Amino acid sequence: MIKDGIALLKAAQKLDEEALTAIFDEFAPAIYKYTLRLCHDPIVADNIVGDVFAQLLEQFAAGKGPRTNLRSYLYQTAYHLVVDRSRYNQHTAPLEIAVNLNERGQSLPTQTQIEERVLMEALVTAMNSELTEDQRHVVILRFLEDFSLKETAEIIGKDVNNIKVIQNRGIAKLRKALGLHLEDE
Amino acid sequence: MENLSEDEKVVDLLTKLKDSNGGYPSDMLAARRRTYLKQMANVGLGIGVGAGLKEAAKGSGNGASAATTASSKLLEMALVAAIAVEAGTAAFLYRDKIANAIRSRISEPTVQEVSPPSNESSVTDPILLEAVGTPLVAASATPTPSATFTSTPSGTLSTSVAGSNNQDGNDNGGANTSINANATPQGNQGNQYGLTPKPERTKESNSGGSTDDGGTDDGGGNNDGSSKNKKP
Repeated sequence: MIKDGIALLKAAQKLDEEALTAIFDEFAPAIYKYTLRLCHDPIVADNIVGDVFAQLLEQFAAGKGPRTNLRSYLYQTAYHLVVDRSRYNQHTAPLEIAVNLNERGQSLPTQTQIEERVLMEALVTAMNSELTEDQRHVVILRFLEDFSLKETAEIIGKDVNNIKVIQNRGIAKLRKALGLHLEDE
Repeated sequence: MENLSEDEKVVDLLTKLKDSNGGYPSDMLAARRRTYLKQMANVGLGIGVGAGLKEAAKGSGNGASAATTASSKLLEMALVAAIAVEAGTAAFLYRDKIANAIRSRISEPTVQEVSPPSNESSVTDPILLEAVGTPLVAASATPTPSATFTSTPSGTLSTSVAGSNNQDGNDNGGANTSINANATPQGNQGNQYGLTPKPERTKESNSGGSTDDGGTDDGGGNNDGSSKNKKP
């Protein structure tokens, strides 16, 4: 079993089946969640996950592919695929699909849970309606996927300072959109 | 300060949203994994075939190096033989053209040697000048003094004119010789050397008729066409 990330990457570059399978098992759910947040469609997210790993295999077979940061590379590929698809299909489906998937089969919610759920739905709505595409990508990568500023800059292909500005503006927009709900709290 | 606290609340909500997101559905994940494993097998098969070919090439290079060198020598010999045969057939097919080309190269210098001396030898060669000049002296010495005048300015021209004057003088007398002697320089003012043979030809034609008839038919010539020339 290959545990080290660099050893896993080197083994994958040699098309080691165990390493390639381990990469899929480790990163496929995270890529799916990230893609689902962006495109709001489970089937499209699943297809993008398939495309991401197919491209990874092609790159490894051609002697290319990531050399250091496999996670950033996979998210970057997913990001570009989502952007390409969004240019053709302007999906505006709400992100509630992803929110509600985790809450199936639960018992009746308490008062605080209902308030929190309303707040979360307002946040998701604000993310989809108020933020620009770059701001949404930066917010998701920074706060939902826990990427650093440098990694986010690498994935999106922009400068770190530019990422900081985009992040601050996105947070400010979300704060304004959620102002009433925060005052209610 | 309020904005900072509100921003922190927004960030907290975002982190909660991270935890609340749904995961990959198990059936979709299993199907996607199977597809990925198939793609991986295809890629691995292609890579395996390529690596096997490389190793086979390496193995054959070590084991049968002597066989490859012998075969390469045979190939070289066959190529050289093929080139030689091709050159021979080409030479056989175009043998006429090749022979013509060789002949033309060989015959060119002989033509160049012959043509230039033929024009200049009559003028510059002193031996020929002496040979041609001897009858002039002999001819000009005996007859009229007009011949001596023409012989002095130019060596070669004077010989032919003098000869013609002699024969005309035999035929028609001193009046005709003076006319011919003055006529040739006037007609050949531009190129006197190139026109020297022409009077000799007229001399031969006239002399042929004149020698046969002139000497004997001096009186008869007056009766025929020559009388017309002499009357004026």
